[in-house]
Amino acid sequence: MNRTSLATHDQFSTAVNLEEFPIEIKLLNSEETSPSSEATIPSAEMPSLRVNTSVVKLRQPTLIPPPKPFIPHKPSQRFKLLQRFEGTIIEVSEDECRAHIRDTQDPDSIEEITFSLEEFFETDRKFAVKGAVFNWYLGYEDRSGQRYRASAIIFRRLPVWTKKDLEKAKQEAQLLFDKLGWEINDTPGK
Amino acid sequence: MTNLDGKSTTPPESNQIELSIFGPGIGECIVLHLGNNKWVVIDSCKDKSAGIPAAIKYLKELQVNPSSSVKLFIVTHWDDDHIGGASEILAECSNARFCCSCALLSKEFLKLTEIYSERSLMISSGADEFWRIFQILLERREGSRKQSAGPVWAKADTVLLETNKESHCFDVKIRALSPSDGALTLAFNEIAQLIPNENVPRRRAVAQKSNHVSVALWITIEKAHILLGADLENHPNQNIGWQAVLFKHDRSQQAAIVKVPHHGSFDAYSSEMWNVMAVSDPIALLTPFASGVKPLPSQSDVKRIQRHTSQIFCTGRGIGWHPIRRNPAVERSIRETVRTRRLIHGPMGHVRVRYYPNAKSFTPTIETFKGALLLK
Repeated sequence: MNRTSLATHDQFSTAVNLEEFPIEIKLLNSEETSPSSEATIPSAEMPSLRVNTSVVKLRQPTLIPPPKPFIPHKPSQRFKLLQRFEGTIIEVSEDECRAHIRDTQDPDSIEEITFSLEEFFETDRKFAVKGAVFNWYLGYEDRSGQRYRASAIIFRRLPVWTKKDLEKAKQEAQLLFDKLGWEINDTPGK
Repeated sequence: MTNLDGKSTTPPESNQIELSIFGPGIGECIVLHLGNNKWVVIDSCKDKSAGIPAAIKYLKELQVNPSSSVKLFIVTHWDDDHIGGASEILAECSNARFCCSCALLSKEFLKLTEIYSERSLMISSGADEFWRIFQILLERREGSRKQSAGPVWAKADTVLLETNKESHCFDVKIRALSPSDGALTLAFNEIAQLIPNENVPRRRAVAQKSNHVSVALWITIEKAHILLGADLENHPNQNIGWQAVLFKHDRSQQAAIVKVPHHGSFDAYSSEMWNVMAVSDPIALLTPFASGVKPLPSQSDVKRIQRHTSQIFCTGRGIGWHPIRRNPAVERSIRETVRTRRLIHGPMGHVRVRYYPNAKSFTPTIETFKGALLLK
């Protein structure tokens, strides 16, 4: 399996952090010369990005240089985003998962897909649980004068539920319950 | 039976009953005319082309004012495919009573809706749709429409709506067949389990096996009966699901129209239900479920139902649709990554049954629109 870096792009609105967000891109095929697509990029060259998924624009891309301390790749490397999906895992079996994906530009269009768990970065597979949300980026990567098709499935690292969050939800539920004037006495099992 | 492809905008006559079922592939909604421009809406799904709930779009096409004409809005359960756009229906139908499964009458469910009310995720869930519903009910309770605040809590043997010839043109009774007490107890435990634990990453709420708490309905209009099976399934415990319904059913009553439970799945099939609760060769209506490992109804599901009726009308194909063609490079990348892929929303299929309840014999008119079809 080919692994290489994901170049930054304004459509990603990237803020790069090497420690927090390892991104894995599977090279699917070279669109141009594709001489040595089997070669694996040394891990030292692997980039790491934090992706702000809230900004996606369809206009013609213009490249924004990444913040200096976190430049993850050589200037020749560029990722051109063609498509982004937001997905939710519906079911996980031994070696594959089933998910619903929505085109971020056409949210009413829902596709159901199944794919191998190997599509996730090895350390990320533990996040593949029912209800987990991920982004799927598809595009081209330009590297060393060549263009490759690239695909990255990346889990959204949503914050954890804190004790405070759950306590607040409990209080608001109680308040709503009282305001709605429901009576629980009629409820079987309570 | 006719396929009119789009010309569905003639309203029913005041002495005519209509049952319309909508389904775009994943999602289900039923619109019922009780006569004299009184309507009931059951469940909700969105019409992708219009961006609004199918029921609202249809009623407006018929020149029906949802605010004054819809008397009852029932949500059978909180699965995503039955609740998309439900809060919009409730907001539009400002004088309709809201009815839902008694399984949701718990502080745990309210807590769940509070937790998932935050729209941090693009894909919404049934829980956040319910949160919006509760906010509307709260507004009504605090405002001038207290009489429609509700909810009406549905459980087995609850009468949800009743009219007689003095107040309405027909004798009408809408009764809940489920959930049973056994199902409710199970549901409270399941809802409690859906509440996330501390320090667990946020995720989308994915409803789990709520079908046994769905509200199946028995509708009597004059002498004719309609069975709406919701997503009610069989259960190993005979106090839950179709066994519990059959145990209490008055065997002298048989439905001429059956909304097939749970998209025709094997888990929801009960030969006794068909033999005892339906007339011979009833009109069977169903919606497909183009999601899941095995989309519904499968060929074997259809064959099984055909043992009981030759008239199975479905709002669409159960196998899903081909996804939209995208950039060729994107298409190639997708093909190389996924094992299976299908679009789960197709055109909004619509099957409409109309009949005159006071006619000497039951002679319904059945029409199919868009992708709806008679299954053979």
